[in-house]
Amino acid sequence: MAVALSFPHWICFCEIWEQPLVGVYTRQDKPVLEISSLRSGKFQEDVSVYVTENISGYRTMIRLNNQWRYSLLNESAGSEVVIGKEGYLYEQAYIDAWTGKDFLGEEEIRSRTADLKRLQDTLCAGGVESFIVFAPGKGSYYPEYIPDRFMSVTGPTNYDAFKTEMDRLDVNYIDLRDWFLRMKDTSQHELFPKTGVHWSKYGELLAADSMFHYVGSRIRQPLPELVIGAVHLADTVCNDEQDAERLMNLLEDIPDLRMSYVNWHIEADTTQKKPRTIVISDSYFWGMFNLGFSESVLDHGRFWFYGNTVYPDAYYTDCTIEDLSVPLELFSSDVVIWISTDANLRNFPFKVPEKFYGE
Amino acid sequence: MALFFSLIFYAWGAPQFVLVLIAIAYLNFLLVRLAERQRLEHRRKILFILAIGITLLSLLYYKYFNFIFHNLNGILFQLGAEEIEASVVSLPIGISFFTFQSITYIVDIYRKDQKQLLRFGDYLLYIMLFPQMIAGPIVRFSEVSKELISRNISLTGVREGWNRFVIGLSKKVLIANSVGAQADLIFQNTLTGIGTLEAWVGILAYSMQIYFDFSGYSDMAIGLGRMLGFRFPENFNYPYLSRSITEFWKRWHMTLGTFMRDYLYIPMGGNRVSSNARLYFNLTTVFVLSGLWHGAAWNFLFWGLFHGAFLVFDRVFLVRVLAPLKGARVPITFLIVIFGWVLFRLNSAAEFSAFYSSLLGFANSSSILLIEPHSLKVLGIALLLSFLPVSILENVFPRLFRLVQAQFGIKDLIVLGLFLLCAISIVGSDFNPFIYYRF
Repeated sequence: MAVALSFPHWICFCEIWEQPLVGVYTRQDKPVLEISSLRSGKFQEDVSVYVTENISGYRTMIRLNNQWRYSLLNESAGSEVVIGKEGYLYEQAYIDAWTGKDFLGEEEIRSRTADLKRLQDTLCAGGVESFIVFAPGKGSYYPEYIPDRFMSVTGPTNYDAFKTEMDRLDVNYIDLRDWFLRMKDTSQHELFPKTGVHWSKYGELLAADSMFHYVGSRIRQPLPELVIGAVHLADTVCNDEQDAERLMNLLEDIPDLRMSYVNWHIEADTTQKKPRTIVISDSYFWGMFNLGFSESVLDHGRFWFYGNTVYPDAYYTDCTIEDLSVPLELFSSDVVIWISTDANLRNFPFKVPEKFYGE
Repeated sequence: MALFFSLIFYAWGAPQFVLVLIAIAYLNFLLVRLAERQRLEHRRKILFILAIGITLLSLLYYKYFNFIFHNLNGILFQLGAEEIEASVVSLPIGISFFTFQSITYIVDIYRKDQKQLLRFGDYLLYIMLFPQMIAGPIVRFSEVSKELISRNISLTGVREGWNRFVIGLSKKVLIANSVGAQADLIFQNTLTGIGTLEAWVGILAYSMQIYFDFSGYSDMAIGLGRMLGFRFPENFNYPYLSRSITEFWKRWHMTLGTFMRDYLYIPMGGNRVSSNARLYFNLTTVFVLSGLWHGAAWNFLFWGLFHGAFLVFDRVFLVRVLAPLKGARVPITFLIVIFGWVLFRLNSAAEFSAFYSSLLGFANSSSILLIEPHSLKVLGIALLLSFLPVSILENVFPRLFRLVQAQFGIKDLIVLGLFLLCAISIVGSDFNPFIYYRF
């Protein structure tokens, strides 16, 4: 028993080498004693959480817990990660998108597409090009590794319905999801990692290249060229390509595929006018944004993350599109791009048409 | 010291009620003291009845007021009358156990089976002793009367108590919580439609959850009590190995069963009544009240009625009919018990109907979406531990058990390992990060 009570102190030694926990989570602030919260029991709950989170060795204990549950029970403890066959990792949303569990319904999709078409036409009339990018999703790219229990109930999907409706209303889009699937069996390099939920760094560059060429064709002028050079295989996977695994906060690495990394550079003609661009996207644009394409290929490109937080402004101050005039911002641009993987089509087009028309 | 920590423990969990319970306890203590001073038997009896009445009334008020009022208003609504407005009454934690233990003290003193306690502190320690106050076992006064005054705390007792506590903690944290999450996932979807396989996994998971949760808490209470020098009674004895519902109630929540037998069933006449009809009525009444003791809601009443009915069936024909089936009686009884758990877990007729339909294969769904593979592994372990008593394992692996018992440290290492596993599971259980913020 004495040994057990001294357990936290052993953990102290682990903290010297342990990594911070991965993921977005809120920490409990130090509770303040108030009579009302004491009577209601909230103070006691908060103290319990606060003490637990500040216990010596907290992070190591989290990882130990997650590791034993993964190793012995094949469970992704405490995270939204779903463990598929052969160790392929998914988020639930990607599986729901593939099986159609998150289907919005035909009527809703028709309504949203109509709003999008209306906005696209309005922007076009104002000289602003806009288009949608269907990004591939982990679930639709690797359906063969989705656990069988999820496949017991399938139905219509948001992707199929949105695409059908966009075809009917002639909404501009490019379908990278379909393109990736067509390349899957022939590509020499992995387009999706095993333990991450986003496209691979190689796949991301291919997607970026396609997207920028499409922008160029819409505005009828070439953009700075993304030159893709030598590709090399690596034994270790970069953090972005194992985001799901990192979210599990394990002690041991899960074996991954051999991923490809590209030498690339931007070739720009100083006389080229880069288009002012707003990219309204889910997390699939983060990689391109962090590679600096919003500046090197586009002109002061703004990234409206889920149509809400505005980057890079949000790095310096709280900035959401509520702080902006959406019509002014969109009309001030040359190009507006929506990007969504199938898992986020349930939120698509991120309420931007409503904010544009002030509804 | 034990009393001090018990009061702090309770005040920490329910600060608004600690004084209420102390006040009720003091009133009972005084009434019993007063009663014992009476020379006239009828006055003595009145004071004891008053003490029981106050105890039961406090339970009725705190636990059943909302239920009674809600149903009363339902009737008034149906009759087209105006509903009565009343504030919601909060439930003090542990009041069910508090009430029953108070009754054992009052009745045992009244029956002159035990001598009254002379110090209020000793009585309060009995009533509010933290290991068992919240979730049992129901400790009768006679079982701890001597230990309340003077107890022996030994190193062996502390070691044995610690081991028992850790076993209980492991049952709760490593098994019950895991299968409980699976059960919750399935039961939450009862009305939206679940597949037959899902229903069976759900009810098995719930059966294991409730057993390991409850027996785990009992083990922790018994273990902590042992560390403090108390010997609390056992509460579970492999209940799912029962060959009849009658036997089930001799193995499940045993302290409740013996309490109900000694303080309700026998005073009602027990087995020595004039007719079978009266016997069956008594049995059913005891179990309906047992059901309601678990919670103030109709489903608990139905659950009690369900078990009461099977106890009657046992006496009328079931034990006789099933006797030739020998070992097969165990799975049959288990099936009956788990069908009863559906009533315990769900709340409405619509939910009962939907779940039973799924269980019996009438649902139009072959979904297995809600079945989590990792939970199945724990469920398998839970079923094994439920149906395989340690005594059988001891016979199968005698050398291993002798080694563990004989070698100093092996058992302690195993217990330590379990404790550490529980500790990291508790710490890790509330950590749920996202990849990105959600909108």
